[in-house]
Amino acid sequence: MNHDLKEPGLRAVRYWYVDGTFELAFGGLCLLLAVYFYAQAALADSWMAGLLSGLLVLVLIGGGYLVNRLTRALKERLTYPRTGFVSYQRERGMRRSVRIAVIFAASALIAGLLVLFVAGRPNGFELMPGVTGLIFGAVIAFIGYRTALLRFYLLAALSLVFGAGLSVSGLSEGLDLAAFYGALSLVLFTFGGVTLWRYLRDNPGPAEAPDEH
Amino acid sequence: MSTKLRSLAEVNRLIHEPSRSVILAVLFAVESADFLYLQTETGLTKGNLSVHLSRLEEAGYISVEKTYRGKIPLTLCRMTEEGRQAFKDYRKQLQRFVEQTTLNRRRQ
Repeated sequence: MNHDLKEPGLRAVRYWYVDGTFELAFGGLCLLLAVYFYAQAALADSWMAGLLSGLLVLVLIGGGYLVNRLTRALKERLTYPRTGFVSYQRERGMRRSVRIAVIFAASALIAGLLVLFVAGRPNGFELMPGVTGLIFGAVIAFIGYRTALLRFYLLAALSLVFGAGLSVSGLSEGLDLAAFYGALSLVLFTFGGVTLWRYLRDNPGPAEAPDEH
Repeated sequence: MSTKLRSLAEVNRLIHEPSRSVILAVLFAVESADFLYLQTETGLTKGNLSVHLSRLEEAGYISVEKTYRGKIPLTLCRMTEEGRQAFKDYRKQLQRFVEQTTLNRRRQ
């Protein structure tokens, strides 16, 4: 009697990441951030630098929204017709409030630590790619832990390596972050592309019904 | 009948059928899943899956909604509160049985 009842539930949670569309969309966001930081570095002496700094929040929120929409659109077209549709539970009431409070507290803590250890040091901004790599690595590793998918641990490790490497690379402020996001987006596109290719190979599209006469 | 056997006999037999327990384990983890996903997960034929879903729906453990996604027909399955509770109880019963069996084996 083999009644491993956790496995189907875990597979259902993992299903969101089965086709690589998440990595492709997330890679798109990283590419957007790479372009943003490159533009900021290139226009450092221009009046547009200040304007770009103000736009970062908009880029992050808009980018996050686009990632979500893009992932859903890709799944609607590629995944749901092949292996079915799943919608996930949204936390309600107290649990939702606690989750939001934890996210806010974590963001405040990270921002505080950044100010203390990075902005407060001479040449502290050189550490920004390392810190960014650490934060992204932690988030990606958490996804790996939740889904038990090895590729996310590998992505998290690469994020750390890119961050650490670019912190000591000596690249100018802004360009180092552009390089970090560019490298991360490249890796995400590669992982997402390979996962999508394997998914499409293993799950051919549904056969179309013949035309009625 | 020994306590061990009695605890096994008390297990919810509607859920204890392997395909139905997989269906419920999936629906327990998500908000809803469509017919195609459940078919992929269980490996059942359309006919067999329909029968199992009907039985679970009759018991009040799941609700089945027939709708459309654009022009494509979609059969969405959701676990009811009653089903959620029954599945939790079933898992507890199974766990108790396994614990008792392990305990007895250690004593022997």
